[in-house]
Amino acid sequence: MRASGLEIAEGRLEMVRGLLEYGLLAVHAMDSRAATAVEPAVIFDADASRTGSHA
Amino acid sequence: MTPEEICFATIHELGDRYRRRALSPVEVTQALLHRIEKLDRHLHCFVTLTADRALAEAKAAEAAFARGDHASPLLGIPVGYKDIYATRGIRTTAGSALLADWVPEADATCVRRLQDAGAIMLGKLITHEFAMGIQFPGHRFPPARNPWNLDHIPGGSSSGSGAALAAGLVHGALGTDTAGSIRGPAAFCGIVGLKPTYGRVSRAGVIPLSWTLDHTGPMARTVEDCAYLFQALAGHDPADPASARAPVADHLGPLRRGIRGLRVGVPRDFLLDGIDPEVGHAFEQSLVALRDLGASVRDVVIPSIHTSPAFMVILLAEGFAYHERDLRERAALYGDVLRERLQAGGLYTGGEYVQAQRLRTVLRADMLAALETEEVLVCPTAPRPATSFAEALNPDAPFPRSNMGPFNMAGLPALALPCGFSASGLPLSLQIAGRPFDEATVLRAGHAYEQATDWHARRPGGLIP
Repeated sequence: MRASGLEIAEGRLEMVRGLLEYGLLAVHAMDSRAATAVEPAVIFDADASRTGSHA
Repeated sequence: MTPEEICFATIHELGDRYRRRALSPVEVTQALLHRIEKLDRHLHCFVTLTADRALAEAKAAEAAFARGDHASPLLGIPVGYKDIYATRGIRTTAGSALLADWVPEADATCVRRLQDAGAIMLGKLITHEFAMGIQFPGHRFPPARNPWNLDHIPGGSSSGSGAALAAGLVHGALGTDTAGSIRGPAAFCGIVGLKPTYGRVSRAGVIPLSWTLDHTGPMARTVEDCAYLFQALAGHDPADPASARAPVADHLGPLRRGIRGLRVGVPRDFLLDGIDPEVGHAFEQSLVALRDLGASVRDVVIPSIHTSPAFMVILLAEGFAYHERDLRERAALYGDVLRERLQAGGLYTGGEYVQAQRLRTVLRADMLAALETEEVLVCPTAPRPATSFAEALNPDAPFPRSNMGPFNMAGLPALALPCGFSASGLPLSLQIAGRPFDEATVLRAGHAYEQATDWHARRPGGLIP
C-alpha cells in the first residue's frame, strides 16, 4: 500500500493503524464546537513571570 | 579517592577538590577514559570518543586552576553530548545512517555554552535514530544497554546519556526530550534528568524531531549536578525562534532551602492508571517522604489529562514534515520502525493536527489552573521499570503509554529522579513538574527528596558479565 507517496508493507499496516489510533482517540472524541480555546501554539510570553502567565 | 570514586563523584565534589588542588581534571579524565575503555564495549554508550580533545581540555582546565582562574563550577567537568547536538569538527550522526558521516561546522548552542563554561567533552553519546526510532539488530549503531541489567533497555531516545551516567562514564550529559527522551532514560537508568520549560534552553544546532514538542536539557546523577548544568545552559538564544527572554533565576542558591510548606499536587487520574504495583508502592512512599519533609501533599484533578496521547499526532505530523524529503528520496537509509512511524505521521489530516494542538491548549490551561494553587505536581515518571530488549524489539509492540508526554504538551518543566528499585533491581523514578520558568522550585523539591533518601547513591553492581 502507498500512503503519502510512500510504500508501507502490508504486514506493517496494523502497526501503523494502531499508532494512528493511539493519537487520534482524544482528537476524535473532541467536540470542536465545545472547545473554546483556539490558540494552537505553546509560546510562553518572553516576559512571563513565575506565576505562569503566557501568551 | 579510588578511580571508581572519582568516576562517580559529584560535580560539586570534583570542583571542591580541584580548587584545593587535591585532584586534577587530567586525573579525572584519565580515570573516565580508562573506565570507558573497559566498560563501553558492553554498554555501547559512545558513538564517538574524543579522548585526545578531552585530555587537551583537561590540561587547559588544570592550567586554569593553577592560575586561580576557576569561577565556573563546570571548569574541568567531563561531559558527553547526545549525538543529535551538532559539534564543530566532530561527526554528528543522530543515530542515523543518513548522517553517518556528517561533520558540522558549528557547535549547537548548548554545546558551546557548556564548553565556554569549561566543561570537558569526552565524546558523543548514542541516541535512538533521529531521537525516535529503535536500534534493531543490524542497525549501523548498536543500542546502548542498561547498566543495571544489560538485558534491559536504558530508555530512549537519550539512551547513551542515561547509560553513561549510570555506569560512571561521564559526570554530566545533554539529552533531548520530545515526549520523555530525557526523563525516560533517567528513570530507567536511575539517574536525574530535567526537561526545562519550553523555550528556556536553546535548541539551535539540535536536529529536530517535532518543533513544538522538542526540548533540550541536562542529565546527571544528582539534582544538584543537574542544576549546575542547567544554570549554564539556560537563557535566551536568538538562534532558536522559540527561545524565551525570561530572566534566568539562580538555581543553586535556593536548592538547600527545604520544602516546608511546599504545595504538592498529585494528579492521580490517568497518570496512575494501570501502573506496575512496584512503581505504585515506590510512588506512595515518595509522597510519605515529601510529607515528612514538610510539604503539603494533596490530590488534584486535571480534567483534560486523558487527551494527552494527542501528543502523538503532533509529534508524528511534525516529524513527517521534517523528514518527508528524505523519506521519499532515501527511504532505505531509515530503520524500518522509524520509517513506518514517520509515514504514519504523513497520514494525519491537517484538521486532526490542528485539533490536537487545540486539545493541547486545553490541557495546558488545565495544568496551569492546577498550578495556581499547587507549586509542583508529582507522579511516577514511567508506569513500569525498564523493559527487556526482547520485549522492546518486538516491531509490533504498541507505543508505550507515557506519563511524560503531557508535560511536553504543556511545555512545563519536569524533573525525573530515582525513588526506588524493583525487586529485580531496576530503578524506579519520581517525576516533579512545576510552573513555567520555575525550575528553581522543581529542583528544590527534587533536591530535598533526594537528600532524604539514598536511591541516588546506589551504583550498578556486577556491571559486566
